[in-house]
Amino acid sequence: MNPALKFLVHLDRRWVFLLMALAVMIPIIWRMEFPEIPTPLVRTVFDRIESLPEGSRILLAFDYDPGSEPELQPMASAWTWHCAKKKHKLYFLALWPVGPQMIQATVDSVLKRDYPQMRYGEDYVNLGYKSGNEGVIKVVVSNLKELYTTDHFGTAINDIPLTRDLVNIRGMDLILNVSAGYPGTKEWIQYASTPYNIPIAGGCTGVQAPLLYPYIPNQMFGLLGAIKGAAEYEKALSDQYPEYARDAAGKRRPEFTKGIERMGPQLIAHCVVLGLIVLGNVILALHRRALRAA
Amino acid sequence: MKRDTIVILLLLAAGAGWLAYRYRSSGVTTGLGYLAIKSDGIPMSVPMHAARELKDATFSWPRTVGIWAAGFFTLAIFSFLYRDNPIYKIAEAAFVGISAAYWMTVGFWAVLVPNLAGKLFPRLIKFGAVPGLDLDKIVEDLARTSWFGWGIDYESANGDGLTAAWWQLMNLPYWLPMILGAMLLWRLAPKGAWIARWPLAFIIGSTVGFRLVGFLGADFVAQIKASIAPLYVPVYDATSGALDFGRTFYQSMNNVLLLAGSFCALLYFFFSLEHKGLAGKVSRVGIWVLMITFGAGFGYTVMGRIALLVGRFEFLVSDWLNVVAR
Amino acid sequence: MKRTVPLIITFLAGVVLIYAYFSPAAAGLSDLSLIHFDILAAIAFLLGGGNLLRMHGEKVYKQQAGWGYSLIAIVAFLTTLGFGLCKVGVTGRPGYWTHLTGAGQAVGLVNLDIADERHTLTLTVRRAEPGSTHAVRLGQREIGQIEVDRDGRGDLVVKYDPPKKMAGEFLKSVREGDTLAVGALLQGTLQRYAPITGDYNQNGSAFWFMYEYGFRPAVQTTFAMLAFYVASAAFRAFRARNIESVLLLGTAFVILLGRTFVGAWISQGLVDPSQAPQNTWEQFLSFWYIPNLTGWLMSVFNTAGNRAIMIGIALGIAATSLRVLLGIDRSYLGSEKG
Repeated sequence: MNPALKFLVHLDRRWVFLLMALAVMIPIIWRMEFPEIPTPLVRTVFDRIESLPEGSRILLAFDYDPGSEPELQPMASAWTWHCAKKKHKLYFLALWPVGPQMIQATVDSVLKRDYPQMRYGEDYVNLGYKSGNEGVIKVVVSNLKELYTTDHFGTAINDIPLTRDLVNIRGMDLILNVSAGYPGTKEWIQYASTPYNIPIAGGCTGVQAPLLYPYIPNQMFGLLGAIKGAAEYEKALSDQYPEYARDAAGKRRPEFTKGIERMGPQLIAHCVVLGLIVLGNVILALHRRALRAA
Repeated sequence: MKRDTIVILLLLAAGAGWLAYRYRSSGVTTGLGYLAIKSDGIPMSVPMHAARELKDATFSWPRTVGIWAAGFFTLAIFSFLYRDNPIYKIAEAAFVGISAAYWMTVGFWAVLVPNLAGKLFPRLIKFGAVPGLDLDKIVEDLARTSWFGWGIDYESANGDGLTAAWWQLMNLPYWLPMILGAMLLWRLAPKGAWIARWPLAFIIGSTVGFRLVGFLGADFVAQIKASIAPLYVPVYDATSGALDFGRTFYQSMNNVLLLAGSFCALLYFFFSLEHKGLAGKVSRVGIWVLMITFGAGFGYTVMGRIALLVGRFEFLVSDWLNVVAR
Repeated sequence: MKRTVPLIITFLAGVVLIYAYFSPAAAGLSDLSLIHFDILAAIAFLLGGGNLLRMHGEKVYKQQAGWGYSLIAIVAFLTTLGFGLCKVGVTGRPGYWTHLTGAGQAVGLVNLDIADERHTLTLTVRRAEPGSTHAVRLGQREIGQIEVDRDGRGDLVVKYDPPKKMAGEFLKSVREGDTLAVGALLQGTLQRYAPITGDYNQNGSAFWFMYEYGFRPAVQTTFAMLAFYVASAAFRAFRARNIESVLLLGTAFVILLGRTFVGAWISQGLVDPSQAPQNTWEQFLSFWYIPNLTGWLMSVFNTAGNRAIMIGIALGIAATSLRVLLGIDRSYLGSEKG
């Protein structure tokens, strides 16, 4: 057998790991970027938030942890910025224990930076985390205050203007759920959106996205799937509001264009994976031929 | 020393040398975390050379050590890709300990204190940990809604939580999760494991209770309803009013394929019927539909996993090594 | 008894929730049951931590192979837990408070809560002489009057909110140690809220450090490793041997191309993205534009396949749930012993 073919047939997988590492690292260092065009699913979500009247009540459920943060934080930030721009009332909560960290990071990096005039308790509120997974959803669609007696910071729920008259979440105009798995968008659809007809849009990881398509459009009107969905949403936002992606001096604001930036290494890595699949099949064919010849 | 250990040490030494050279030549620092207090009081970590422009920045040893610890954890866990090694095992052990404690702490402060202790001993919790608890409201709600009003005189508190007796503030039904919780923790005991079955039974019963309805509603009935779509969908041109053949064909074809595909895939899962003859052919088509589904799932999974790797490499090159500015 | 009572509990817990779905009258009981469920879920975290201590503690105690790593796990666990439960390095809730006490039986409580620039002083007096009125002094300044109703209760709220031009600007200058007096009835000295009242994951606290520089990089790296394994699997395992695998790989190809700019670039000649197709031929070509083809595969075939799987799973869940509720499936109770 050809020595090169023998090497490839018995290739140590660590060479593949190294190739993958280079495929991701080099585009990051070279800052490779490519154009994005929002697809219809993403455009639907964007248009819905745009069209809601000012002061609409939006529940932002951040159900993810640092493991999925690189994929989901860009969409969480984009949604928060967009809702704040439209002057909607924001209710944050989390079904994952690390969710409150994600909420606080988003509030600090988006609301306190670009919307310092927004007042906690009057324009947005952080209800925090409660354990119980879908059990929490089942309670908040019925009697939110029985479970959330205080917000995340220990202030009585009735002392907060946004939640004083809030009985449950059925009156929400929209649920925007950023989800990394269980519990997440599927549970929000099963226990809140479908039974009570609350409009919901999901932002989820690449692993989850195909599983949520059957809910579109009757049970979930839009979906931001994986980092691509986040990048498309950032593009849509920056087209509509140039100040989102660039500051007054025209300089790029990297913290708000992470989705677009990360699509550069994503593209190269996709090409590498495709190349590896093709190479693997070519090696298989050559190996079989070599064995038959032998 | 093994050859690959020597190679790794040489690479690390070369990297350190390059970083030292970069600092000497352009002043760009590596992984020195300053603490900068913003005007609105939010502390943040910034690299040393960026902090020079911020007048409120002060050097922070904890954040500097922290960034290096984060870099160590990252490289230690990545080292498993080369081979299993003690550095990886140390990082993994530390991670296991930190994550378990993190979940316990969050469960304690976010749920057990406000929702359990705050219901049973609200005065203690108000003056101990959660000053925002409204004792007056607690007394009023208990007087109005408690099931034990026939035996406990909530009315005499007159809605005054500050001077109410401790038994007028106690929400008695919450003793049930307290007792069940204690029984659940009995699982750790060497004997009497059966005691933990009661709370487990409650958890299992509640789970099956809400899942039965949730899944049937959203994943069964709603999905069947979504499948029942018209197989002929005429689309008319907005300006001329004439039938748009292309869009009509596209929409109609999609609905037909959706219905047929779902049916074929469902038939594949129907194992009570032997997959022979017509049923066999239909289930074969179902397999093809499922293969396309799994292919789509694979493609999206690759996308998802790579994004996480991009995020981690960004930390290494931007936050830690400052090779690329954020 | 050891197995019968749990079966009854399972049945009752499940039936309450199912019944509440159909009957709003049971909503209160259902909500209470669910909140208890949520609390038990939090207690399960304690169980997890305890189990970790037991397992690794046993390994250290018996000096089994790898006990050093178990010791590291225990030390990391106890350190993080101590930081978190004791809120080490956390600053308390912004504001001041104190009990108000006096010679008689009257009692009072004052809270001054500070959120951003908003200051809210809430004064509560109980068991005072009905119908009396008392001046409230903060240091030397009189800030208002409190009127006691016939039940001996009095409340006073003073707010400062800059944009709304409320009175109460003096609240900005309140400091720890300032005294508050309700006439000659009650008095107290304001103190800061204790650190234990602060946010447990406050930026800069010890617990936050363990999260930001220990937990977060470790969990992100663990998930990031999967990208390498996906690449390795793509090279070693994905072989186009038959129609089914060709369909799978072909779909993966289209998705991987279509979800990046490569797909648009390769097929850019087929369509003008700036406008909708004008005729049937352009519509036909735009179908093969890779991003559009990707969307079609996802919304038709992927949806069809996942819908079938979803329906099957829903039926399976329903069947399993009924088996568990009716006590036919008792596997969750464990073995007969114990």
